[in-house]
Amino acid sequence: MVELITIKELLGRLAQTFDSSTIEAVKGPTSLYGGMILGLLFGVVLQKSRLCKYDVVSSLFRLQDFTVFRVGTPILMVSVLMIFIFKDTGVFELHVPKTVIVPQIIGGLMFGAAIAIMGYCPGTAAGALGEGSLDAIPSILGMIAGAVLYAEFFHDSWENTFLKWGEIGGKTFFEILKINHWYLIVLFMMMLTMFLIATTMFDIFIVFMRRTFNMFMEMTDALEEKLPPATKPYAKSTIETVKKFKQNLRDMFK
Amino acid sequence: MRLPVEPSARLAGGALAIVVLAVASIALKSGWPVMIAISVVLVARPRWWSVLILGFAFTIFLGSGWPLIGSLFFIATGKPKRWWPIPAGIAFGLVEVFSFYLSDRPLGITRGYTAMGSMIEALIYPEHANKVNYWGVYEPVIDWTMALILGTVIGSFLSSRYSGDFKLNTVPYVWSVSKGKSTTRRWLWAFAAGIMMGFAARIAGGCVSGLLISGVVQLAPAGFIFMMSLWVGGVITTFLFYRTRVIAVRKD
Repeated sequence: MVELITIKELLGRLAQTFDSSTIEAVKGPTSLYGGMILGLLFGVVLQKSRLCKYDVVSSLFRLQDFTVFRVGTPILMVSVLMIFIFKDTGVFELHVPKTVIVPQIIGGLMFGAAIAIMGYCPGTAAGALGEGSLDAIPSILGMIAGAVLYAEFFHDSWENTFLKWGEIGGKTFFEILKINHWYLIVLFMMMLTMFLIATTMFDIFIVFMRRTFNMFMEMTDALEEKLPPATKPYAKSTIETVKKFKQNLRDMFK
Repeated sequence: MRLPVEPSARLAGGALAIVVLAVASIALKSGWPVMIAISVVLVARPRWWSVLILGFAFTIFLGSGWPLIGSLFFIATGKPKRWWPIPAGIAFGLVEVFSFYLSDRPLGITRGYTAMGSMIEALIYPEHANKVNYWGVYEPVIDWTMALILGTVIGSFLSSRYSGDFKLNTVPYVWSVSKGKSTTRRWLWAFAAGIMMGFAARIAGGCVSGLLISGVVQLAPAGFIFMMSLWVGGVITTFLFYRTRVIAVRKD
C-alpha cells in the first residue's frame, strides 16, 4: 500500500512534472508565458464584466438578471466574425471540439445543475477566487475531485458504451451541410442581434423593477422613522396598510 | 479589505521580501524572483502610479513594449467597478481571438483542473497513476491551462483591487437570502456541486469556455448542444433546488 514519502522524493517527482520546453517561446500551444498573458487578460475581462459573481450567474438561472446573456452575445458575434475572417485570410486554423451528441446532452444537464447550485463555472471560479469570494476554494477542490473520480472509476467502463453514442467527430455545421460558411455566419449574426436587443430590453425592464422596489422600501422606511405618530384615523389606517403590504413583500422575497 | 497589521510593519515586510528574493535571484542567476517581489508589493494595493511602475519594470526586464502599453490601457479603463455588458463582451471576444492567434488553441480551463488531479495523484502514488488509462491523455505536466488558471486568478485580483471591488466573503448575498447564512452549508454544497461539475465536464469533454464558447464561435454542433442542455439543466435545477425562495432582490 501507500508508504510515507520523503520531502526529497516529493521534490524529485515535482521536478518531473515541469517540462522546460514550455518556457522557451511566447507563441505556441504549450507555452506557459502565452497562457499567463491570456489568463491575465481573461481575468480582468471576467472581473469587469461581473461574470465571476455568484449573484449575477445565479440570478440568470433564476430569470432575474440577464447580464450574462448581454455579455455573452457580443462575445459570440465578435469572435465568430474575426475568427472566420482570419481563417479565410490564413492567419490561423480552426480547432473544432469533437461532437458526441448523447454524452454532451447528459454532461450539459449535469453541468447546468452544478452551475445552478455553485454559481461558478470553471473559469469564473478562478476569477472569483481572485476577487475574494472564498467559496470558490471548495468549488475548485470539488472540480479536481470530480475529474479524479471520473478517471479512476468510470472512464474505462464507460468508454465504449454511451460515450460513443451519436459521435460526429470534429466537424462544423458548414462541413456537415456542405455550404459556404458565410451564409451560416450571416444567419447566426442576425439571430444574435435580435436576441441581444430582446434580452437588453428585458434586462433593462427587470433592473427598473428592482430599483423601483428597492427605492419604495427605502423611502417608506425613512418616512416611518421621520413622520410624527399619526393622530387622524385615516392616516393611521393608511400607515397600517403600507406596513402590512411591506411585510407581505418581505415575506415573499426573503 | 485592510490587513490587521501596522503600516510600518507591512512596509518592513515588503522590504524584507524584496531583499530575500533579491538574494534568491542572485543565487539562481535569474531576474524572476525580484520581479515577482516587486509585482507582489506593487499589486497588493494598486494605484495608477504603481501599475505604471510595474509596466515600466516589465518593459525594461523583458525588452518588449507590450507590458507598458497594457498597463497604460489598464490604468485608463480599469477604474470603474464594471464595464457595460456590450464593451465587456467585445473585449472578451477579442481575448478569445487573441488566444487563437497567440497560442493556436481556444481558451479552455477544465483541462487544467483535470491535469491538476492527475498531478496530485502522480505526486502521491505514481505507481498507481501510471496504470490509469485516462491520465495518458491528461499527462501530469504543468501545462498551458494551469498557467491560464493562475493568470486568471492574478488578473481578477489586480482588477478588483484596482477598482476597489475586492471583498473577502465566504457566502454570497443571494445564497444567504435563499439558503441561509451558514458558511459550512454553502461550502459543502459548493464542494458537492464542484464534484458534479468536474464529472460532467469530463463526460462532455469541456467546460463553458472550452466547449460552449469555442464550439459556438467555430459553428460546431458540440457548442450548441452543450449550450442548450446547460440552460435547460440549470433552470430546472434552480427551480427545484431553491423552490419558493427563487426570487431574491439584490441591492445594487
